[in-house]
Amino acid sequence: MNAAATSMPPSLAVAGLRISAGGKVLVPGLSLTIGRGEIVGMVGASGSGKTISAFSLARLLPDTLTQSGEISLEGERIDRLSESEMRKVRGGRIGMVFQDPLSSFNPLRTVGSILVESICRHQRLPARQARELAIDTLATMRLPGRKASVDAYPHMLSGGQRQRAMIGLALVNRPALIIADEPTTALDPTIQLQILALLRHQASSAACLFITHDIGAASAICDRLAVMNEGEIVEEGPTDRLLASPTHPFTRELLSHAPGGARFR
Amino acid sequence: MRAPRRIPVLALVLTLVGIACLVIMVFGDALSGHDHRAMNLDRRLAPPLTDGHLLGTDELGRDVLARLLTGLRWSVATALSATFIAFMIGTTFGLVAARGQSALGGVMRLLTTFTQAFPPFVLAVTVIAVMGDAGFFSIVLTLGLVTWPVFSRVVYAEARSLFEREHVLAAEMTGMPAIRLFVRHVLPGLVPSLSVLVVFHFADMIVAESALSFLGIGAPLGAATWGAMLSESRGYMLSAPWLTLSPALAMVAIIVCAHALGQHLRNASR
Repeated sequence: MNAAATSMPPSLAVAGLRISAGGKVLVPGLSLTIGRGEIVGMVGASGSGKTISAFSLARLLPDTLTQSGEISLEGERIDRLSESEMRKVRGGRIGMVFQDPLSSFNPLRTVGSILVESICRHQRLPARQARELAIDTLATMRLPGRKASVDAYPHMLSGGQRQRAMIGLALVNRPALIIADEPTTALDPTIQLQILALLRHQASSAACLFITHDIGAASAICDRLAVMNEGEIVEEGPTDRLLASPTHPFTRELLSHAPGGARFR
Repeated sequence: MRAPRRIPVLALVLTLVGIACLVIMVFGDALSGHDHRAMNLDRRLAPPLTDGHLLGTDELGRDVLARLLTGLRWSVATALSATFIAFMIGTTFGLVAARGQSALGGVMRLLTTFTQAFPPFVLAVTVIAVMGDAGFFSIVLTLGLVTWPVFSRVVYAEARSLFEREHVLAAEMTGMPAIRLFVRHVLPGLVPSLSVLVVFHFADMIVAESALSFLGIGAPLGAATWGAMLSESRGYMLSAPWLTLSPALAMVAIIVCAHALGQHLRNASR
């Protein structure tokens, strides 16, 4: 952790986050801190509560689930904000990358129009400038053909291109926090590394929560790992330390089942 | 490789029927060469194809074809308007209910269930009886107000699944307000099933309006509507079957066409 992080509040601080469905508690009490520029990997099996925890940070849980607990974004308690204030946070101060880049873009609208709308909403730029920014953003994400990709419909792009456009959408308003929910799961292995490198490079000024069941992908870009099992973080620590000497039995099990075992670093 | 394009016979036929309906609605009984109100007691119950009466005359000597053409105007206008009202109410309620978080959604769901608990036809008869006067607006309003749950249920179910789509969630994640989310991301997804529903509902409304007219609580007395024509022809069913058959076959034809169109739309949207 660097010196700046001690004088400034962490980008994200979660304390006692509790999520329940009716009477059933899914996440009993999650606490997590992510500093500026830090990438934290949340690793765990399917159904361990990773995704609902991530959605609860943006307060986007389905109405069958209820959440409580403190969520602070750059020192501000966002769990107390009203719905209309929360809309300014979503997309503006929290960006999100979803698992399946095909289904996360509306098939009836161009990729650019989605970016432009988000830019106009959060940065209050006129449409022409917003479009320029969208074009620049997609170019930064290394999408081919400056104008072509802005006017492309999702089906015209490849899976990797769509995911890069999605990362562009998540980053376009320079958010404080990026939540990436299994961003590489739907992609083939050669593209996965490109996407991870892009995320690592582009997210350098923001805090990033990287959610995955693929401990290999997590160890490739994360500064710290938090291992999640049945709604609780069972072990947390710097990536190197955690991979070299896992203490919790569940972490060991997870590592032993990962392809390539524990030989990531 | 695509299969060679076949001539879309069905689409062609339906288009022609649609154009014919439009022409009839514009010109009405003028196309038959007779006034649909003109009575001629010397020429009562003339069989079809006599003295320029293509479909014969009824018990008051009025030209059946003229009345049939005028009736189409009434049927289509009431059915379209009633469908529009049901569509507007049902879609709005369905969308609000699908959003689900607010108490408003709960109220909407309750109202839908409540309205559907009554047999729509009985409800329509009651409402018209209470309203007192029978006329275009009271019929249209009643049919619309009684049948909107058809739309709200379909919209509710479809919108709920649409709201759970990742791209809708992704759009919400960009901070999009609810109304814009509806218009931009949910409504376009509803178009295929709604267009099918509108066409089928239109056919249902033709039947419902005719049934009300048949009972004598639909169109104003003496108006030329298919339901009224059927009702008046009951006494002459054996002696002058053309009086019953003309409106009955016309109704069957328009409903078959509407259903064919609905089916066509449904297949096209798959």
